[in-house]
Amino acid sequence: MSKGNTARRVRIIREEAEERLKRSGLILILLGSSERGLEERRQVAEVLRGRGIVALVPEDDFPKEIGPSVIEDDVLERSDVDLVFLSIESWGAATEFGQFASNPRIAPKLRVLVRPEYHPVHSPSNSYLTDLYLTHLVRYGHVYPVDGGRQAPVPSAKALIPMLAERHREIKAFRPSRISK
Amino acid sequence: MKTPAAPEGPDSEVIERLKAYTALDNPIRLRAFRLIHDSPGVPFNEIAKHIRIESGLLAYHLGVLKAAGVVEVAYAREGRQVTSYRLDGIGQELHSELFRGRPSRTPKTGKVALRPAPVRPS
Repeated sequence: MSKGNTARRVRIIREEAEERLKRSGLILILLGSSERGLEERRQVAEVLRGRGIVALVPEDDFPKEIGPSVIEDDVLERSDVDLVFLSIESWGAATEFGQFASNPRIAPKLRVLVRPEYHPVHSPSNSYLTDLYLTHLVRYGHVYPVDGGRQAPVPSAKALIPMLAERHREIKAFRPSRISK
Repeated sequence: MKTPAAPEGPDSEVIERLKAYTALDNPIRLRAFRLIHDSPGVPFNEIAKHIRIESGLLAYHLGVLKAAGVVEVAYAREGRQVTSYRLDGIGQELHSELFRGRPSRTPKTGKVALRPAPVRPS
């Protein structure tokens, strides 16, 4: 069997499995702080793998010769990863967020998890990072508050809609090409 | 918030296949998969020599194979960390399914001779 035939066969078997399960195959990466949150990412990966999703935790799944931080724009841009979940619990992860959010080939795949006190919808914080989350939230819609079970406060529609609309019009005015459609 | 329940029973086999074939559905990973089959215990750097892509990207692809449960990884220290790869049980089955009756490229043909790393289970 030639290389092309093997690749086609792999695709056919994958599609048969997808058809039977009515679910698509998915590859995703779970990124975050190497200290806090690593165990949680491992547990999440385990759950996802049990559902047929290929979930990578770089600290565990990458060869030791390569530091986990090598997951940079370049690698994510050229890989076939479907989603990148980034738990922001350290300045390192926040730096990664800044990198990925500004890359138009990665940003749409990015799912950002932040503590409620830094989430633009759930917090009155005026920090630069919270502001950056708001921009990402409006452009791509994927910034989520996570809090280990604590009840997060929820804003009123009166507070939320003007905030999102204001940021949208700012982006539309100054960077119209960056509005995702 | 409710999370959708994971399928159970007969679907679990299909789930394993979906995960494995999602991982293999890429030309670079398919090449790495064959190489690892043909040279059990092959270290990362040897794979990198034969699959000529940037090492960060190769690390990602091998990570996908590992996360999908297709390959097993062992670590050893030879002055520095050495990560080596071999197919696990599912990987062997998949290889038979895909390449049944197809001759191995290595090392008998001499096309590539890979140096296996000393294996220490992770």
